[in-house]
Amino acid sequence: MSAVQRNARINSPDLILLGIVLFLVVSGVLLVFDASYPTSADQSRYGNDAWYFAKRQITYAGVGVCLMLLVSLIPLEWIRRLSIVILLAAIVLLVYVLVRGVTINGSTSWVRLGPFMFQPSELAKLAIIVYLARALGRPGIFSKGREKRWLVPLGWSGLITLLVVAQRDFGTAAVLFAVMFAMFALAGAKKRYLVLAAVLGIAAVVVAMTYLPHCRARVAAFMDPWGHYHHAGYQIVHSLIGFGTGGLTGVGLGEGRVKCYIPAAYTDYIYATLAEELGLVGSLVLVLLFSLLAVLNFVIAQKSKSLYGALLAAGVGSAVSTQALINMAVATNSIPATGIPLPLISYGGSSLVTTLLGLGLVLSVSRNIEVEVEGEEANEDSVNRRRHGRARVPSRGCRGGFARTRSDRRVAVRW
Amino acid sequence: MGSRTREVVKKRSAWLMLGFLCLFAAISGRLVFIQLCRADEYAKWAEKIRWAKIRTLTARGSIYDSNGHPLAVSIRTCSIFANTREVQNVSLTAHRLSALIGGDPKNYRKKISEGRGIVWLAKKIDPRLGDQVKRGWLVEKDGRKRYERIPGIGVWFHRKRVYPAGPAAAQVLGFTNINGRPLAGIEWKFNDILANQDGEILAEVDARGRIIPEAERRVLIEPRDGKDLFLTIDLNVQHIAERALTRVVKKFQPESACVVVMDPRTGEILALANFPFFDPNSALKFPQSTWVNHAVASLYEPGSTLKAITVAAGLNEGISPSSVLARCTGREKIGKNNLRCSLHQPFLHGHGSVDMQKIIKYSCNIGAAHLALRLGSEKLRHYEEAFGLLEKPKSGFSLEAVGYLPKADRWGTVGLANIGFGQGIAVTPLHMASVYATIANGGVRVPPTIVRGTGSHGKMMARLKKPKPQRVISRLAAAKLTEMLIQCVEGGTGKNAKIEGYLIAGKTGSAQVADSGGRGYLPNAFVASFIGFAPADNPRFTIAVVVNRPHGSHFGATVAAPAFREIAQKLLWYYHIPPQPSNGGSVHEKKRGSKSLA
Repeated sequence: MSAVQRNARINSPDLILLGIVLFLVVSGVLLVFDASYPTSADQSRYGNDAWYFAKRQITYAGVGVCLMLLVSLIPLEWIRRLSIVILLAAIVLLVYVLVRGVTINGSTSWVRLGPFMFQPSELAKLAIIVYLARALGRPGIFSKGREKRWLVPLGWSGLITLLVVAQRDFGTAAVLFAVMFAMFALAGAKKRYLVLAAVLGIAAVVVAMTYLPHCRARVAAFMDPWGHYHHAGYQIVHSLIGFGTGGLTGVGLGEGRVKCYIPAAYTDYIYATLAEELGLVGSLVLVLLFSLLAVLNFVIAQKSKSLYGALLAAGVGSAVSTQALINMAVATNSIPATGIPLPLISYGGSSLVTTLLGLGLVLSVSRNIEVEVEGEEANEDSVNRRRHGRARVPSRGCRGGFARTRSDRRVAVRW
Repeated sequence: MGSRTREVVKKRSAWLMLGFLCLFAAISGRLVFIQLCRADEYAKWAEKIRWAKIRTLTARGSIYDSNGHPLAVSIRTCSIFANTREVQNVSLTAHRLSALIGGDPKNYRKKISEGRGIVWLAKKIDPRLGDQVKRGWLVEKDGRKRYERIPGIGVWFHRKRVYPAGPAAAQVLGFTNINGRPLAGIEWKFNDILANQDGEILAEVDARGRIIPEAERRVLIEPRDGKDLFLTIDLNVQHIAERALTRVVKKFQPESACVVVMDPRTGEILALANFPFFDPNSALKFPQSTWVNHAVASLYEPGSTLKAITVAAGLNEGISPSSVLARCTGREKIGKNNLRCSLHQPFLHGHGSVDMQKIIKYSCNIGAAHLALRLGSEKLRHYEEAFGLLEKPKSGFSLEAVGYLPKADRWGTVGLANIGFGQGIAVTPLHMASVYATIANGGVRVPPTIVRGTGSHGKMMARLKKPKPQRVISRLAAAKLTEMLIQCVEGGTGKNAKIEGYLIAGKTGSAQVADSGGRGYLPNAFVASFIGFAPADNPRFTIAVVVNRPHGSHFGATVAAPAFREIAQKLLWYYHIPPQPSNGGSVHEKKRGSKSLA
């Protein structure tokens, strides 16, 4: 095997993607400080420290970026093998949070891990992505008479979604649904099933909005924020005022007032502060960056030679994009309110670290864009060529004679 | 990956990408709509919510007595109200309020549940309690202790006017309403000085209504504290006067009564007491008639006390004190009118031949009438005017009355004779006190004043401009008149005012009350008065006691003179004036010579 061939197999990671991610993380830290200092300086439980949230966000960002780079270096095969463990861990934590979760701001979606609080629903996104990539990353699983092959992964990811719904975290559930939809679509699910899923998803949203009192209140506030100013409409009104006063060019960095009114100014409504201070220009730049992120993710998915990599990139891409879309839509009162952080920007360790981990996976996929993950090939062989009981035919570019080629061991770290 | 799978991945990736891009485009459209098309509308909302008028509380000026004791001060206080539309749990709110500020929770519950809109739950309470209510209720949530606002309950901080001396000098001070607007007295008259101006700032506020420190703010109204006012009233003298007044009131149940104590040398009013009393801290609980400052605002016919002016005019015009003016037989017909003297032992058949000394000493009406006739109406009126009876005293009180006296050419003989002994003329007790202060001051009139100066933070910074003293009668005439007034106390009608060891000068008065409906006098209504000063050789204070419609007796000698005596005695002690061996009135002239006047 020549060195030229080796070089062709392992690319450098997608530097544009990495650049955008780092830019978003840095501006996120700045924005978190900008939007949180009135709250943290004012309240004694944050030690009256204006930097309270910024310091923590810097720590999370540091840890997250390191983990992202680390993940981008390790072979995808490792992730593939770990995916079942991650799935089980997510399910255990999601069940645990239902039993002994910590309640913050009325929603029980936190688990105490030593000194840290952790949101299992954030892990759930990652778990679904890696699990579905593994489970659906085998060609031909949608072939006739083999419905079990895709019904089982659908069942597991459906279970996770239901556990998230049980926390009444409909925003995350919607994100999970979008991820599942994108990954099933990419894996080649039949169009009629996809249409059915979309219809069912929309129906579920309509039913929830009509029958669940908690959701109905939010829908009412969405329709008439001023009428519910003292309750559910309060944050919406102030968020809209932030967008409005921002105008074209904004009131200037640090000059915004939304953060003095909205309690969640540095988490779910951080976009309002950005829009107020940097105006339409700033808010459109952020939309552009997230669009670019989505495009890059899907381009990597297209280019990836392995279905596994494509599924990972598309899953992460759709998760990040859906979250960004939902968050922006909530902040602009385009949809009823639901608590979703703006990925990479909003304050919150669980969200930032898991998002960066996911993007680390995508970076890894971009490095291994030429690599066809082995297990997948083996499966494809077994499907197509009914390998059992027959002699193994070496696959392209591999030495013959061995059952496993361990191609990953030869992969050199190139950056 | 097989080529078919690859095809599917590429195609569906493109579709998904397109889908997400469409959604991002939709968000962008929404952003343009909100941030450009509707920006003005949202800016208006922002103006409405984010800007608030913040009031800065200032204090109305305090009023102090001459020793710096506070008579009226403004303290910070607060009132608690409920907005019934925002109260969420009535009984819980009532319970918490009662725990925070005391009071019966049932009462609060009733007020909140029966009221509509803003309901006042507690008024003018300790501002520290208001701070507590504003801070909220301590709750433990998620293991953290924090204060939770009580929904629908608000606190209004304001100022409350307090009169620490209670009813003392109440009619002088006046009072203010709950909003700090003055309604009477010094408070009203000197409102320009005392009035404060609460500041108003238009500022950007945060969600809790607190000003955002670095934000822009506009001062709408500059805050200004009121200036302090320093009165000439001495609270100790005031108490002495009021104590004596209370005793008179108890004994004779008059309709009203007043005491004026003045320093004749400076014209400063040391005490001014009016009965009926009221407490300015709760003025509205008292009938309006108690608010009247009778000593300044109510006219009465002074009667015999006015003879001092007639005699002063005579003396100043050069009539000898011992020249006989008339023969008094107890009654005499002058013009169409019958004049009468009230006769006592040893003058049961008239005062005999009357000179000016006797007019004062025994209060002979006929003698005074003849003196008036001898002086003529023009001259007499001139002296009435010179003593300041026909103008407002301009002492600093609100609603000062002007003395009533017809024009000189319309008096006629009867009128002139009557005015000679104090009938047909109406003045206020303050006018009369000023007249005797002028005599005590050697004939130089120093107009009465009630306000000494202005200042701030309890210190006097500026004196108020004083009116110029004016000589009314010669020093000699004043000395002679003083001697006559001493004789009146020593052996005449004013015996009840005599204090052993001191020289007291004074004159009684027992005047009839004119019928307000028309001509003539009311049959059983009198004003008993006694006006004098002490010590006569070096006067330190002038006291006027005027008792309107006493029951039991109507003579100034029996009603007013004992009160004068009580006040004078205590003031002599108060000013540490040592007694002197009594040796008639001659001391007066001797001392007078050494005093510089005018």
